Amino acid sequence: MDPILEVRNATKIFGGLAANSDISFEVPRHSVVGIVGPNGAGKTTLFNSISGAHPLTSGKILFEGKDITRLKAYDICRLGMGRTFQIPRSLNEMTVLENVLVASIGRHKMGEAILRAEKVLADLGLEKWKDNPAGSLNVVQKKHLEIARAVATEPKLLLLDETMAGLTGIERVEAVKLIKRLNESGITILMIEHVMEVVMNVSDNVVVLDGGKLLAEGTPEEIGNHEEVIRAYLGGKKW
Amino acid sequence: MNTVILSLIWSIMGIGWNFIGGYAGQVSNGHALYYAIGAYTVAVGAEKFGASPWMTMWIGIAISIGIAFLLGKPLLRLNGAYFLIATMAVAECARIIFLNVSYVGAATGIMFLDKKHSGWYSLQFKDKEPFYYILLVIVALLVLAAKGLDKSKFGYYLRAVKANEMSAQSAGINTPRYKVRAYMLSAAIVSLAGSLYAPFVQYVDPYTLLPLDKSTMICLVAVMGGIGTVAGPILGAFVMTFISEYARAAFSGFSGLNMLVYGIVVIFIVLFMPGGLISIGQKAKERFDRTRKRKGGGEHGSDS
Amino acid sequence: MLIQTIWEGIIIGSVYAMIAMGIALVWGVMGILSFSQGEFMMVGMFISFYANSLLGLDPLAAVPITAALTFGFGCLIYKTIIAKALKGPRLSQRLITFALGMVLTYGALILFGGQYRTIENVLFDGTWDLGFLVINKRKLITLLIALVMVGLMYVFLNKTRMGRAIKATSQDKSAAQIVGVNTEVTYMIAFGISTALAGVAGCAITYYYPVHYQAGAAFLLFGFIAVLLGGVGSTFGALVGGIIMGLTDTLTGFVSWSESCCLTPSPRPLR
Repeated sequence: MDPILEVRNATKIFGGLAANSDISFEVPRHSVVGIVGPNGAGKTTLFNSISGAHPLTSGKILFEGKDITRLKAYDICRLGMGRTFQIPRSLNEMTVLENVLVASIGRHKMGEAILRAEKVLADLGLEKWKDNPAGSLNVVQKKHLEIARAVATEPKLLLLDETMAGLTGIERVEAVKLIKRLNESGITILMIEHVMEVVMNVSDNVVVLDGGKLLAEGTPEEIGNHEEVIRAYLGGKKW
Repeated sequence: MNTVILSLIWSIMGIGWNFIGGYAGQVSNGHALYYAIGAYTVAVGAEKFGASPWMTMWIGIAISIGIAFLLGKPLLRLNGAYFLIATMAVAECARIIFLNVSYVGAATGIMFLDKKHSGWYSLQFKDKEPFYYILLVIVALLVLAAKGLDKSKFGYYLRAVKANEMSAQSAGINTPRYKVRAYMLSAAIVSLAGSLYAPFVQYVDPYTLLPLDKSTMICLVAVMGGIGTVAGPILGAFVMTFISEYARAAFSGFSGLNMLVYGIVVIFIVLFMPGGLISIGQKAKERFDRTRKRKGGGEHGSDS
Repeated sequence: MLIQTIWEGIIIGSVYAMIAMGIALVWGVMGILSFSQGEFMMVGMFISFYANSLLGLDPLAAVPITAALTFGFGCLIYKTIIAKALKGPRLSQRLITFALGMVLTYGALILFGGQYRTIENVLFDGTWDLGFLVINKRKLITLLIALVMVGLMYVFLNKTRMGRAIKATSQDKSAAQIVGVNTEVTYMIAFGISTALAGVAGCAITYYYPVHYQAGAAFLLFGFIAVLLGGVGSTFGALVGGIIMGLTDTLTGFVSWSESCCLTPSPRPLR
């Protein structure tokens, strides 16, 4: 299998505390991989290291075989990796369209970039608000806007950080459909998710972190039956 | 006429500052440095070499861009208040340098009344009118340029940097590079303002060009008018200059009263018009739109 | 000579420290980088000057008066202006303090005129010559006042209820509110104390520094840098930062710095 992303012995130390230690896994191209783990397991830290928000203390990250460990976020984005933030970081003073435009304009000329941005907004059901300031959107819409901005960078790999948190049941179903649709359009997806049913449902592979370490890795079925995972994460209850 | 000319020069400064402080949101409090560089280059050129400001202003711009490039990288790594204090300190150091280098006249400065050349060469006119038109053209060109940038990739990138640097980076924007570019652009424009101011007063010295509060004043005109907008800095420059100059004429018996009034006006604008003076216009337009809409709605209502 | 320079640096540094503490307090608690700190200091200088020339009080005796007056003045400024400005953007808050500084500067010019004044009636005057060091008694008192203020601030912030509330608010506003700190009052007190610190600094420096309506401005940048060196929200840090700045000041021979600021031609029109 051709991995799009390889994480090798990733270790990140903050002020003497290891937020991630010695984590290794691969993300196969065109797959959906879920990262789960209790709060404080180091999921977002790992995301930040992968996407270049901060460098790893030691270890390596390969994207399509290229070492990106020391690259900055904007260079990694150019290579074809998009990401969303757990807490939406909308550019509140700019319009919804402009929020997406700043991403698509990195790849295309202005006219084309506007068309692409509008298309992405339409895909995500945000076109009605495109001329409103992003600050006026509600949380769910802001989460969609985050995804829209990431998609507009035309990523091969998309990192989604807790897209489901705070969504109602119906919204979750919609979001799952969206993830599947994005995946079918050829984007590999690596997602952090708290909602177990979502992870088990959409993922081809699941990575479980606990206390900054890799606890288990495998298909949803394997993880569902993994004893340590059940003990550590699911609180003894069998999935 | 003098007041209008000063307002136009302040407008150029405001427009220049607005690129780094307004669009990119990196509040510099040291732009007097570039103003002084522009003014001194013209003064030294005219005094020592008989050069025309038309030529030396470009040298000033080049020097400013060079210094902004060198300073921009380390300074723009700092955030918010730290950047502000660092730029302020740099401008202070520049002032001490200008105060002590005798080549540029040290504390006495340089007088450079040019009687040999024509006004169009030296930019020194007996009658202020031609200078006024020159400034008007320059400001108009800058406004056009700013308007173009407003809706360009560069403009969007700067605003994204201001709104949230981290998410701008993850959208693929090389934020350090664009911040430095904005800083260089704004330094160049403010330097141009200095190059135009120097022949207007035919005199440069560290006290008038680089006082402690000069840089803040530059920031002030942009913010009073409307930060991050094209027309804001010009509006701010005109209103603030007129207040200061008229108050000076009106209370000529009390020195300092004009600045007192200036300060009070700033406090009022900041407290009651957070969007700057330009927000009055915007609000009026909104209200107008709304009443029109309501009227339109009313007609529909009566139809059905 | 070197020892003398260091001594002078420590003295002026202790004044910077007082200003830095005030800046750090307001910055830490409400996030405002206050540009009016130099002008509050100038207000303190004038209070000290008039207490001296009208009432014959030594600046040392004027310290409590100055502290009380500037504290009240600070609270008033907070209530009328700063509290409103806090709802606006960061930059506006800074500019408001800058404009406030302008109002105070030129208000002082109009009220008191532009001449330089020095105080005449002091209790301690003259010098002690220790051979390796000449101690100017006036400057010594300035240093003592500064050290006492730093000490008082330390005790206040760490040992009193209000001080702890201020510290808590500067660390986490919402958490402080949850545990029952009235942030509105805390803010006002913090601003008042910050103003008083600058006022006392102004009062203390009148021992050897001429009183002038633009005298405060020169101290602002040094105060800012001292805060950066010492760290926001640390009394001790402000002292260290201030003294480092004082030493930099005297050791690099930039003493002319503050003089050159005083020479700034009075009321400049907007140019």
